[in-house]
Amino acid sequence: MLLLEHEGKEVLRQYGIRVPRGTLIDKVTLASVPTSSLPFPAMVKAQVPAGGRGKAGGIRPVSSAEDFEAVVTGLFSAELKGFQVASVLVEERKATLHEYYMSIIFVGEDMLLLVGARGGVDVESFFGTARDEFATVTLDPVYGLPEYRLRDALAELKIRPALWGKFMDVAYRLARLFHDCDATIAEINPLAEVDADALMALDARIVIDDGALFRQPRFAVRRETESGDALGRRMRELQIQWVPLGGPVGLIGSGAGCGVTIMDWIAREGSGLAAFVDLDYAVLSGQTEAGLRLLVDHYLDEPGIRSIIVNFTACGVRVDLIAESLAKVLQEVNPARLKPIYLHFEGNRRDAARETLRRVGFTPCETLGEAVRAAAAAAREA
Amino acid sequence: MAILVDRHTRVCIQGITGPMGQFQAQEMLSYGTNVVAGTSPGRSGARVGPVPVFGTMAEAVAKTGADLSLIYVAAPRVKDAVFEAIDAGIRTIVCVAEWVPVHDMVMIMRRVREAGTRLVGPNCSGIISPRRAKIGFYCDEVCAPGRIGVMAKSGTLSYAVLAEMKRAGMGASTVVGVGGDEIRGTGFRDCLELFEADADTDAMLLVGEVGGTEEERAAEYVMHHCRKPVVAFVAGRTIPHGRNIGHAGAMVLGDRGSYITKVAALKAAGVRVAEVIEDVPGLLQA
Repeated sequence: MLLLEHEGKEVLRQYGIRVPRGTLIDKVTLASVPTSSLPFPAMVKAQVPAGGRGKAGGIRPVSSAEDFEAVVTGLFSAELKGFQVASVLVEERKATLHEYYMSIIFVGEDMLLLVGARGGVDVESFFGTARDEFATVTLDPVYGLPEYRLRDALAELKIRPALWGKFMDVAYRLARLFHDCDATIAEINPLAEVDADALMALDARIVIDDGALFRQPRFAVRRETESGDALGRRMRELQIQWVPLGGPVGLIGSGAGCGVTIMDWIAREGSGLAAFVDLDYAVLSGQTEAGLRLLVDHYLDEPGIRSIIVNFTACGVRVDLIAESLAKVLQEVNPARLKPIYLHFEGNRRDAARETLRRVGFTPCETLGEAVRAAAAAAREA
Repeated sequence: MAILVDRHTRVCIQGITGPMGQFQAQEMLSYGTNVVAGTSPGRSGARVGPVPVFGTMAEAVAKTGADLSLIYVAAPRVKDAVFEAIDAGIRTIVCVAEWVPVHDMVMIMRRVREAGTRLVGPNCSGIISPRRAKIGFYCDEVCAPGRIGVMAKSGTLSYAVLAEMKRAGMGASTVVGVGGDEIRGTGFRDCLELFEADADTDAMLLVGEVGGTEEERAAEYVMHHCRKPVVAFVAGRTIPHGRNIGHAGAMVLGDRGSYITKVAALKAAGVRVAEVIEDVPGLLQA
């Protein structure tokens, strides 16, 4: 789970890393915040859980109250990187002497501290063409961050020794945060020299491990109230993995690997999925029927969806039970609403599953390929 | 022969009294797996079908001689379960749970290595040596006995590929689910080594996915050490860079973990790569 910038900065502050003074303003509090209390000249930063906000126009300098109102009204009325902007962080604009970079990430099972001699690089560029701009130090899960290796890294980057103490201080605080908060990415970009020999985090990108939310209650709370449209929230309630992709073929199915393979295969057949969908956890939590009903209804209602592919290829759960739920849901549908739908059931008790579907008038496909080609063709022709 | 599990493997299920543990114990017993014990803290003396339940792994191992543990506890308790199994002297641990915390996995891998224990998983579908034994989810409908050594990150995708093979009259010596997380125990490279040495295996099938460097490391191993033919399929060609769709490990960052990189590495090592899963049986026969 990617924390919003202001949440990330709050965590940094708690771990003793300097961040700019800022005020969080949402649509509700906008009217009640006296603009005289804001630190002009300021930066207005849209709070959405996505990178690349600056390039997309979500980070704007403002010098006066008039400026501020125009910018904030603009941000609140638009989408940014696919998210509605619900709040902005207004921060004092800091003059910087130099911008550096620091992060801790996982590379496989290695925890790496990355330090960069200039800002503007990021985790992506570390894995791309700019790898030699970074100095790296491995964090050992038992022995921690060796100080001499950190010194070597700073020397390698030709960072002046007067700053080494500050860098080490930030690195050790970030390492402690990374461990305590179950972070998988903790990135400060830029880490700016704002006054001579003082470092400040001007941005924060912190990703918390979704698997660890059970022991990170304060982030888990945020997860539950996470922004998203009504459909996305409903999917989350039923524990359905739902990643909108925008194509005309509606997928109903379980399994991450199978879902991704169908996504690739439908694309190969000249069409695209409406969304990546995985019903695994809906099935395991006894919400199969509700999950199927939500997806069927959505795909039938949505005019952009032209065909539906259903795939349950499972061994650990009985697909005949899933087929019974699907038969029930499909029988409730007014036949006039139905769209071309192609079913494939394979695995644990698949013969019973196929029989159940045939009984209610839906002949399942023999192979996954047959279902994929038929669904893609129906979407292309519609 | 087969690899990792056979009829003689003495299986203990950690967390056998949960709904999933009970259902899977039943499925494994009817398959003929030698399930000798289960554990559940505080439930010593209970039974799940014919299987005795013990309160601790130490007791289960002492009383039944279990040598493989299948962990069916929830992800937050996996680290402790792995540590308990290792302390009880278990040599092979299979973990199917998804969402084991990444920081726990770091410590688990450290412990597994220092103890010399084999870990398969997490977030995997288990292991099956058809007609001999199954540990985890694989079922007869998709899995025929045969001479192909299969290894896969994704459970559901491996079932789909196995179904294609079965339809073409082909089967597996052993299928190993290595799991869809980026941090895993046994990887493709380890499986290749075991299959290469296995007298019941004629060829290997690697079912990979974008993200991480498993496939690249496997390709390097194939190039230098495998004489048996290897076929591969890689899922996730259309996952956009930097986005996480499907498995936690299926993340492409820059060049790292991309479809193009993986397929290029595999092909350079002489691996035949299927474009769609339907092509797998043909390539295995070729």
